Amino acid sequence: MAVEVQPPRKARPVNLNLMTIHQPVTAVVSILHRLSGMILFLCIPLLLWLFGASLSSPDSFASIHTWLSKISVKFMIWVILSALIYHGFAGIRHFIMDFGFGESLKSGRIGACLVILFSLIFAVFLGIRLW
Amino acid sequence: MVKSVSSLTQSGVRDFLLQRVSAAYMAIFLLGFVCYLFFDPITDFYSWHLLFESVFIKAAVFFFFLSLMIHAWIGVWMVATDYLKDNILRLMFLILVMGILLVSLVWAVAILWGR
Repeated sequence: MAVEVQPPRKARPVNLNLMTIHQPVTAVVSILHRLSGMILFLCIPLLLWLFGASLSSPDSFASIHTWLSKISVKFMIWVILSALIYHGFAGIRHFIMDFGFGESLKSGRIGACLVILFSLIFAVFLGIRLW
Repeated sequence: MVKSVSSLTQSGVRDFLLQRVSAAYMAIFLLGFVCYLFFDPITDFYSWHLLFESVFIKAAVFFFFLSLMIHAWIGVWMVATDYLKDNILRLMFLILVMGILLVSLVWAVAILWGR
């Protein structure tokens, strides 16, 4: 089969500024998976501090309880747990794709939209529960 | 083939598998833990303390933190190798991350068994 050799086009549009490129939903889901993972990594010391203080004495358990009841702390915990929820759903999508489902362009987009949808629903429910 | 000396297992496939196995364990552990607390809510220090007296729970929590450290290392390593192109900077960053993860693991063991 003859391969048509096209002459190189001059003045190709070059656009490497990521901020001006419209990202597909799959790309957004992927970068948010990384971002939420980094946020969760940074929260490991906070988790260990809370875990240790809650177990060390009744007084520190009570002070943790009081601290967690503050509205600003509750909001911070909500943000962290929402990142965990999102990271979890995006991870489940990875598992499903590892088994060969949802790998086409269309089903990949549907899966990415479902990750965002489920995360939003669970984050709202968590917010109501924490309130 | 050039292998990355800083990757956890020196093998992309093994890193990939460890990432999945640790994720699955953490997901199952967290779902179980949340379900347990949902049906038997703990509001006082003594029942909370008693819960973590059990060797079974201690081991399960230890494996959770071990999975967390492995999972976080592979994840942060992948992100760092993608975005930090300067070798010295990336190595410094990864050494710092490894330090944080190792201290965190020792901290978790100290909380579980050092009381």
